[in-house]
Amino acid sequence: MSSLELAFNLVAQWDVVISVGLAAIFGLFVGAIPGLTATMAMAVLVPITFYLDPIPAVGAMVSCSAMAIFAGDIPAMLLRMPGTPASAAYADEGYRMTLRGEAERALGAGLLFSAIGGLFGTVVLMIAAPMLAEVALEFSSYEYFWLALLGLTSAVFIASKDAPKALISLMIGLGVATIGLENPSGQPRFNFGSIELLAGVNFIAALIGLFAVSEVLRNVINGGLVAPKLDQIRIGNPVREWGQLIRRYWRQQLRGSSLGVVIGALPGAGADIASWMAYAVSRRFSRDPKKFGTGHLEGIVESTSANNAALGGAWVPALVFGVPGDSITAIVIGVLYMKGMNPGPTLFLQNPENIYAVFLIFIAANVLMIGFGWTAISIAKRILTVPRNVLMPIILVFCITGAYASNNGMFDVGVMLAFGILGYLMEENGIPIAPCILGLVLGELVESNFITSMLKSDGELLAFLQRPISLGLGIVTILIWCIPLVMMVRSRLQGKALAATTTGDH
Amino acid sequence: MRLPDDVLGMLLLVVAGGYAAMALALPGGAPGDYGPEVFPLLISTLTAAASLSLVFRGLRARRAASMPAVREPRNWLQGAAICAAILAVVFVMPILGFALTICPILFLIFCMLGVRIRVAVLISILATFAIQLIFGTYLLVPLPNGPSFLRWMNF
Repeated sequence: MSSLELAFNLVAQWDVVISVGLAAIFGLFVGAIPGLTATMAMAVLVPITFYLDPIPAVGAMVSCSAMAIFAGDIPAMLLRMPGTPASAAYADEGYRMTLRGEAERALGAGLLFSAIGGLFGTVVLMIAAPMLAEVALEFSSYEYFWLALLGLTSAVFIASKDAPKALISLMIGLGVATIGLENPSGQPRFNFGSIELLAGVNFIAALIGLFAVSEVLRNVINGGLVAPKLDQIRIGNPVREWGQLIRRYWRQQLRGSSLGVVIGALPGAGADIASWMAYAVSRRFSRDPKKFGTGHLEGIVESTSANNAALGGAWVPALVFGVPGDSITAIVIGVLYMKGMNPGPTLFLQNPENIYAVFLIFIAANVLMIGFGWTAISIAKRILTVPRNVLMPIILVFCITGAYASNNGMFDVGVMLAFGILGYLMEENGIPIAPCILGLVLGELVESNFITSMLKSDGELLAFLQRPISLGLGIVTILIWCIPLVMMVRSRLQGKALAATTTGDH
Repeated sequence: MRLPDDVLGMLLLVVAGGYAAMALALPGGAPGDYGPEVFPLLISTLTAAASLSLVFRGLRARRAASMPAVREPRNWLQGAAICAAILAVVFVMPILGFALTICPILFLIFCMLGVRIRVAVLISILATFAIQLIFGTYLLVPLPNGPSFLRWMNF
């Protein structure tokens, strides 16, 4: 029996179908609630996947994330309140369409192009991942070190508006990852005599705290418990104009999806960056750039294609190298390790049927998105008016139970609380959380490959650049480090030129 | 609790210093010169650099600093109560069991957040039942049972 047939058999099981379906509903629900992110949906889902077999567990993660990213469009377009950060780029554009009475057109386009973008990302994942896996077999500690560093670098310099704060967030994550025995020297570090901390900080409890508990605290402390009003909006049939939309916007769809996959595959950058960049590109190449910001569909099509395509793209480095493309795949990597599907090139050689099963679930999730998404749009009014003061305490109990279930102990509930407070304080002070999560996931990989490389090269730093792939990765990483410097010089030169012009005018 | 960049930077500088001191106190043990302190020292150096950048940025922007967002004292108290509720769960759940701990705590949080008492009672009971069913019964998580005379509550 071929690997593909085996994969079909793995997917065509009741537990897979049920978990994918339920996770899809959960993803739609969480994604549609403004302020609750796709990452938070994944964090809350993790403890449940702990008790599922590997394929239903990964399938649940895939369908939950795809649905949540799409569902973020619903409140973005109806209320100008993006359900997830990935929908923020075109929230204003979609809302202006809603105000003009074109909500069904905006939502219909969002649903259609999200599904097409997601399928595009899946096709790229299916083609690129096995090819890259063959290359990855040649990787040594030098290449892995640079690759992990590239991911961390992207998270700081590309995916964040404030590089120093993103760097601090990353260092917090890396610092937490140094706790325990898991280090090249095998010495216990920073465990303060705690036996529980010898194994390191429980990633799942930390994740639930950083993303979910901090969100509950933010809603309570910042007074965000009031449900949005949605009285005057009428939503019709969102699929009415699909044929016409595809004919008219195929270029934008293709460009947005391609950009989304590339940004997603870049370690550290995810769907939200892809969405913003696609919106900017769409405006740059549009024949009607002046219509942007007035409720124009073009930018919505390109951005929504990009954010869903980025999901598939982000899985490429996650599956092939174990380096997450974004915070969602950072969580997925944790689940893959828990399930014994350790990411890396050998996964493609030893268990190809598992990988094909993941690909099949990706396709199924994006096709399912049309049906589920349509239903979600139809009942959007009810989803959006769920009172937050009822929702937040229930999410909190899910978090407590989930953190407890991750190790069957109360210690991890305490860890979750500590990280919840940390996450709240970080966001309050403009320190992004995503780099911290990447640091937590990649800390051990960076340290072990750094120390191994230093030992191999006897402290010779040039050895890090002596192999062709490590040289290429090193150059890209160092170039990204130079971005802030280039931007600073450029803005100073522009300032001087402006000052010279002003003086000349006088 | 929003701090100005310079204050935040200085605070983080102290944290980085403390972390570096703890790293230097680690016993060696790795082969060669690369012991368990190397990576933490790199982390503390980069944290200190980023913190210094925040301090300078904050000092430059002092004059143009905007007013920090004002939060109602009541909201802070509610946030503290949520944290206290989680801490209470850590200590009480092993003694009273899942249902007897979660249900009243959920009810109290609902009431604190302004949910009507009748609705709060109903949702607390239903949510506790549902979560215990999902995790305890279907996912076979060994949730704490509590005292033996109350085990009938663990459906």
